[in-house]
Amino acid sequence: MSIIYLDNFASTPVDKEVLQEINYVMQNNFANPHSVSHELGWECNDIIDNARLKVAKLVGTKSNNVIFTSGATESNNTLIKCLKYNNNKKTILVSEIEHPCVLQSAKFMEKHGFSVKCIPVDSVGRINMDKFRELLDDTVALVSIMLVNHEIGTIQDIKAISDMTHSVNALLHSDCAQAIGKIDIDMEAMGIDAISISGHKFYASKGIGALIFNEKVDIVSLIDGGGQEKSIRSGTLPTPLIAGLGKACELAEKNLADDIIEISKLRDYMESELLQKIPNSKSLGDAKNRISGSINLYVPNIYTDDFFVNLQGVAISSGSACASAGKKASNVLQAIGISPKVEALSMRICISNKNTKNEIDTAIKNIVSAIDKTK
Amino acid sequence: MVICGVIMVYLDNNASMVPYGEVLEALNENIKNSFNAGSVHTMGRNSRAKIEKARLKIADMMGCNAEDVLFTSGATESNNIAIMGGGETIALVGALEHPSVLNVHPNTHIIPVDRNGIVDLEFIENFLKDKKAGDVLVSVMYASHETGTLQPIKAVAKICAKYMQRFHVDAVQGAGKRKIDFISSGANSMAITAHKIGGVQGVGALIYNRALNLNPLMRGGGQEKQMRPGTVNVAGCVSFGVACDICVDTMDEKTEKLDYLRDYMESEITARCPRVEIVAKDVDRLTGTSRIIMPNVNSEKQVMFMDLKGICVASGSACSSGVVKESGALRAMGYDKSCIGSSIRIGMSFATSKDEIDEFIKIYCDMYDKMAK
Repeated sequence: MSIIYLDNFASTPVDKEVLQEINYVMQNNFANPHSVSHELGWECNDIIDNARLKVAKLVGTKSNNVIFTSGATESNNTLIKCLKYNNNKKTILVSEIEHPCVLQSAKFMEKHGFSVKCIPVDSVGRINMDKFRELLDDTVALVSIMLVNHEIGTIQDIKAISDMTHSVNALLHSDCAQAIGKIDIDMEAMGIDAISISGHKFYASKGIGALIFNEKVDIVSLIDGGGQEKSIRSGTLPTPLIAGLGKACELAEKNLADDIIEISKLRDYMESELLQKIPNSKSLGDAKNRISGSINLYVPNIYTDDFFVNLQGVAISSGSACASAGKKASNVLQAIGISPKVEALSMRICISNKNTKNEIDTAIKNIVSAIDKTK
Repeated sequence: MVICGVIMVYLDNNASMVPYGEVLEALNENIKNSFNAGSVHTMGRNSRAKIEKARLKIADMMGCNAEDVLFTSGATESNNIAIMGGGETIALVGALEHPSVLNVHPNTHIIPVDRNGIVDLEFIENFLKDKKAGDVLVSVMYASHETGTLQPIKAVAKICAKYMQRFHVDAVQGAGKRKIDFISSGANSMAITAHKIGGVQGVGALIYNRALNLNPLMRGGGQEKQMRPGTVNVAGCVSFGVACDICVDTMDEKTEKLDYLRDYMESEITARCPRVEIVAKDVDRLTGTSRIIMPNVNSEKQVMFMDLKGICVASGSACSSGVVKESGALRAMGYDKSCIGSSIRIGMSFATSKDEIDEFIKIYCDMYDKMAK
């Protein structure tokens, strides 16, 4: 039985062209890209430089601002823990709906004398700008707010956030793991100083990502060694995975506008069908400001575990894919005022550019039938 | 072998090894079909099961328990976790260690090596003698990436155990080539990486007993039992497992073949190029690895000569600077000026053929005639 994959917040399928690129590079360019003594090493290095350009172009920055990492978790850890902080600026602000790797990296800084404060969000997951303003003062060194949320897909008004952040001379970092390839990112125009991205959230492979930052950001390394990536990230760069990441950026550059239109159509159709067919269900998040594939459907009086036992042939989730397998209450839903209840279901659905109308029809049917069985 | 349609002799396998065909297949298959292993649905569970299977294969190669295997992005990360994760105030590391061991701890002391690159055991003993238990992290590599020299791991482990200090081993160059038994080695941890054993770049592991309670380098989701957050690179891990399997299955025949090729190459070259010296020739070395000194002939000139003839070799270890650097190893081993900066490193692999070695010998001798005679 083939399974319809609608868990694209957790990980996306790898695009065919990306896979081809990875395969080609792996077979032909397996050398160490840091080997300077032969042509094969230089070729690998060229491939990496080329990919770096494509990544930079997609997010509106220069290629020498791109540091490759193993993924967004590492990027977020590096930025928050390795920023060269100034002695009289020891406050870090994060939104309360951040991914655990941002929240916990910030929390780690408390041990080093930092004050970490959470910025609340409103009922659709947008930053509460009044509360944000209250928390901002001259002691704030860093504000870290994700551009797109990983459970409800809410897009922040990042330009307004950036203006406020810069008014107190703080830096703005944004975890863009869920934004890249889903919406336009222009670091310069948006005023974001640093972003984190991950390949496997936009049709590239797992195990590769980047931390991208402008000249205002001064950081040291999290991982030391051979001094690769300007000594900020040592370790042999995985040429094939980086080539794949570059390819995914190139595809996003080309396809993004069409993707948004097509995926939105599928999403709007699926959402209205589900809302209509599942009594008492409601949609969480910001109907207006969210990424095109995102649906978070809340259904009261349905036991989550029972629902997932009954659900056949559709891969969706109830929260972010953490290692504790979804048993923990979601910080995101709590933040938007949904109190954790065992007898309430929240379905996290994200449609990708690989999904078809037929798949969506089958998924609707199977989800509705699982709800009926669970009642 | 044919690379990008061009015939090349690839002898830089210590920097990155030619991947096995089966590894490429596994990677391709699993990139196509791998999901977030943290997801609760069937596809997520399948990915999780694949990772656990790969973990078993790595454990099998390393002689450890599956739960001792922590997946990372590579050996540099593994070494960093091992060196910084215990909170010791002092690091004591071998002179020939890789930068990812040498350049990590802020208070690093160096163990001198002899002319063969072997660490000075007496020095370690004397250094540890007056230190408080638990204050020092000792790190010695299994085999040198520069010369192939195998280190007396068990002897170092014994000294560390005597003074109750933690002992880490960078096993990147030994894994898959020598039978390693982590549990009986006496080491507390070992770092390995896939792309040095016929796997792909971007995945590695730290082998250690979880009772050590190391601190993680990163924070985030609870992947890898809280020790290494971040979505697990499923395809990388699975293909790493495949590489381990092949290494275990073919170790003996590969060792026999590469020992033969190396000895043949070295005896041909020393016979025809009398002023040439093979580093650490008389000690137990990693199979297929050889460092050859052509006194007073700059390594950069040598590697460029080789490159123009389609032969890939290295001078020092692959680093980021974009320039051919001299090998720091020879300086540490007490060689004089005429030798430091005048050597190249050969690293063979399963894919290396007798014909390729003959081609290398021919070109090397040609180079010798032009540059050193």
